[in-house]
Amino acid sequence: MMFSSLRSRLLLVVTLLLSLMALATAMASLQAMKEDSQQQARQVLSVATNVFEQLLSDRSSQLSQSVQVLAADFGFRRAVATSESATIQSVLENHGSRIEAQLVILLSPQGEFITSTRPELDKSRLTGILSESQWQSARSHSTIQLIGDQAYQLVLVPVRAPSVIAWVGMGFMLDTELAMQLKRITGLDISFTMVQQHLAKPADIEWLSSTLSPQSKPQIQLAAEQYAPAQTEPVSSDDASYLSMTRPLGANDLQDGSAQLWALLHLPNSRWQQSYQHMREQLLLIFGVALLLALFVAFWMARSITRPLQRLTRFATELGKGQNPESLPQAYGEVGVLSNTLSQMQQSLSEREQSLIYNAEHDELTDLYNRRAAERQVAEFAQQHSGLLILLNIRQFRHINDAFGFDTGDALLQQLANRLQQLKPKPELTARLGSDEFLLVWPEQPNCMITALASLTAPYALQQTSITLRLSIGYYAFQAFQQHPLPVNTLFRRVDIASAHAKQAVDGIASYQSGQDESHFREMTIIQQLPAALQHNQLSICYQPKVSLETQSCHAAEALIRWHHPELGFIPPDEFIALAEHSGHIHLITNWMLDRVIAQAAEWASHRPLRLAINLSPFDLTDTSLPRRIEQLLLHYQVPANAIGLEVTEGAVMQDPTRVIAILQQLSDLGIELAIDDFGTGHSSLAYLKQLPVHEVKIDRAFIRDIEHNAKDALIVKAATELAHGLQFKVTAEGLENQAGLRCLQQFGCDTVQGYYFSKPLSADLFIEWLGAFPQQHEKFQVMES
Amino acid sequence: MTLSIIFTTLCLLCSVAAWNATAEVWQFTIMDQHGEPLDDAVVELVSLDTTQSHTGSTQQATIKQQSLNFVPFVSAVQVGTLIDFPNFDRTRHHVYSFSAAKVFEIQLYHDRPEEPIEFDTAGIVALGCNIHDYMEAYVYVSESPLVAVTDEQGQAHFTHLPAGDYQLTIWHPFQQHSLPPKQFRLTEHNKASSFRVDVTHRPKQPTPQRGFGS
Repeated sequence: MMFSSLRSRLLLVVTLLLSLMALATAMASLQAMKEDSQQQARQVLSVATNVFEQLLSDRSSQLSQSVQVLAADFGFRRAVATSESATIQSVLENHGSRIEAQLVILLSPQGEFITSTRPELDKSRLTGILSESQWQSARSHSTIQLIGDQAYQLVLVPVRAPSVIAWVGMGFMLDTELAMQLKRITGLDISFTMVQQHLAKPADIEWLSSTLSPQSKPQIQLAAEQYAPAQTEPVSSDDASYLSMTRPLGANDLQDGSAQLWALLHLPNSRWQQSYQHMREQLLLIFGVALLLALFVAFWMARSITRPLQRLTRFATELGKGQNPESLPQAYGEVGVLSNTLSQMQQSLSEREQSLIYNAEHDELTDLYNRRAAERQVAEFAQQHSGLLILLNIRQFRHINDAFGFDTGDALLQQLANRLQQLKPKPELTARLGSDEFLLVWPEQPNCMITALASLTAPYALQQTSITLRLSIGYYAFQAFQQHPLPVNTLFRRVDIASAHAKQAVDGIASYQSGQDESHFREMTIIQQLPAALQHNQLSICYQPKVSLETQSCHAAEALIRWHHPELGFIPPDEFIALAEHSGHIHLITNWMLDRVIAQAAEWASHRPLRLAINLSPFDLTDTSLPRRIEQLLLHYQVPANAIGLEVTEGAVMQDPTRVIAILQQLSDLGIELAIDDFGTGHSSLAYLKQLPVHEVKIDRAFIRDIEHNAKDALIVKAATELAHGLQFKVTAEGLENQAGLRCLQQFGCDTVQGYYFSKPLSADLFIEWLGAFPQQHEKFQVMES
Repeated sequence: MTLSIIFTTLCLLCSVAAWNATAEVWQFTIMDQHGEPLDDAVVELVSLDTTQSHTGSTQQATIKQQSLNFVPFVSAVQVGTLIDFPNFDRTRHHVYSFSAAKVFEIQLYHDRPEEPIEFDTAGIVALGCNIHDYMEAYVYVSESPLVAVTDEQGQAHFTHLPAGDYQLTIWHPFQQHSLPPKQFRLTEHNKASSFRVDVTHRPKQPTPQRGFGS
């Protein structure tokens, strides 16, 4: 986690690598230097040792010669030959002092001790100095010997007269002075030690003389093992301050308890240790500086890498958020490639976005703005300006599509779009809202625009033919929002209303009239609230009696729906039923009516037999499940089928005669009486009339209302009654208002009459009350008789 | 000249004596440890028969210094013999002896010393020259007159010796050990006998090269 960033990883790697390299280099250098130094030291020691031994050898020959000269002195020989110990003692001292010998010994020709200049040295310690072979050879010998506690370079020379009459030995001490002399020549400190070898216990080592200072002397405590004749390598002292070479002096017998003389040549370690340390410090310095430099470079490099990366990351993040980041600076290498790619990505993204926006706002077919863009632009435009909003439709465009195919239809739309765009003056906005619906906006309100649009009706040349279009144009002159703030959908709704009117208009042009918006709003309210109103029984049912002229009694009634809206008040049934038919809610009304009326019929069936007629909408008659639903309701409320009747309009039959007749047949088979409503006003077809399984026709109130004055109406009613009777239908007249009319109907032979003359539609309670009172109203018929 | 005449006469005398003794000559051969004949070995016989008497006359001998050498290298003389040290070289010699048997010194001289040296004590006298350290000669001074030095063949001859018991002493300047005297019976059967002496061979009077540095 700690080293997740590129920079820290780079720094770590560089540091590690460099440290490793520096460490390896330093170790190798120091090791090489150490070895080199040791090699040098060995060489120095080796050379010095050779020089030292040569010096000792030279000294020995010099001393030998000197002693030989001395021993050849005639006086010396004569004195020795006297055998007088006093004389001999004198001559030994005398001649010994001549060459500064510290010790003079006289031996017999056979090597036996005679006398010496050091009386404290007894005979026993000096016997055996000269071996048999040595005295037999009669040549001078030079040895380094430990005599007493002192090391001597001892030169033994035969005294000849001319045969060997004695051996004279002269000893020269290996003292500090000699060591100093040797040091001057070899350049190394020199020590002489005595080593007492013991088999059982560690050897005793005694310092005889040394050029070393007393302080450094004890630090060189060489182990006894290092005093070995085979030791040719220099040995380091305990504290590594000196490198010493040990050389045995004199005889090399390693007997137990025998003392041995050794010479030590000391090479101070400090010399190469200093250069070692110096080099180490230098390496450390170089490494430190290099590390700092490398860290700096690595830091800089990492920064130069991560900075563009961070910039790219920021760029990409902003890009991802959909912001428009400022363009990336020029970069090179991989970062450059990446930044170029990102820039291209930004470019193509923005291009795609542009195209998406364009596609989102434009109609694919005509390249005009679509509805969404139009709404937005109209809203923007209307903020500041007043203007004219025109909604343009092609009349019967569906027929053109049907006749010529969709390709032709599309081509026509494109041509129309082109013409719209080339209109003079140019509209502020041209948009295609729907299939054949175009919207135009002009800034001012020139009425001439309407005439300008006339150019659009010129024939359109299509592939096979040329077409002249009929357009419907609804327009709405709006004020700038600043004066009359209106939501944009209001503008659209108003022009839409105008357009709807235009479609109805003969000339195809309509303008929005103030108030249209409110009626539209009322329709919307009705449509929206109808389902809830039905559910909450806000609607009610009235019954208008149907009076039989023959029996002068009432055994039937027509159920009529009523709606008292809490805000809108009484809503005429024609209005909300028409709206329900348009909005597809008519089945809700039908179902509600069927349920309420059949329930009412069940309630009344116990008192008196009544047939309650229910109106069906033409849409209901296309529903094949209707007969079954009615049957279930009858079963549910246990009402006989003859307790209800159904009334349908002639128009309903005309839409899909075969299916409607089949459904009517099913209903008739159930035992329900069917009636044709509004007879004489619809698109009646006598051909179908004979096929319909109905029992009754109801002559529309338009013929009845004025029947006593209008002879034509009377004639139609008379003829229609006769026709219906001829077809075995019963005849009901609607809308009877006075006694004169009743007289006509009786005369024509109508079976049943319905109208205000007897009663207006009544609520269920009032209807029952009226029904109870009806048998006492004979005067209504009696007037006729009088 | 006179010297050479005397020397010749002496030699003649000797050879006559040798010839005379052929009938009764005892020959001693001395060899070294390798079986090689050893010259310059001294053979001394001391008669153990009391009946035998010494020849009373004073003997004379000569040790020359010739070509920077003592000649002969080894001399065997009876006690009381006078030895002359004539110098035949052009350089002076300084003949000396520190040996106990005879300590003397003839300081730098030419031709002939003033008088010969009498060797009056039995023993071995080592002679040296103080000028020429390498010069070396030995004089075996014996009590007995029966003393001889072996020749190149390692032989010493004795004539006119009666048979009987003798004490035999053999000495050589290079001997490794001094040989103790031994009893020796001279009979008809052992006229020729040989003895071995272990010696350490070395050059006799090695003449150094002329010039400095030697």
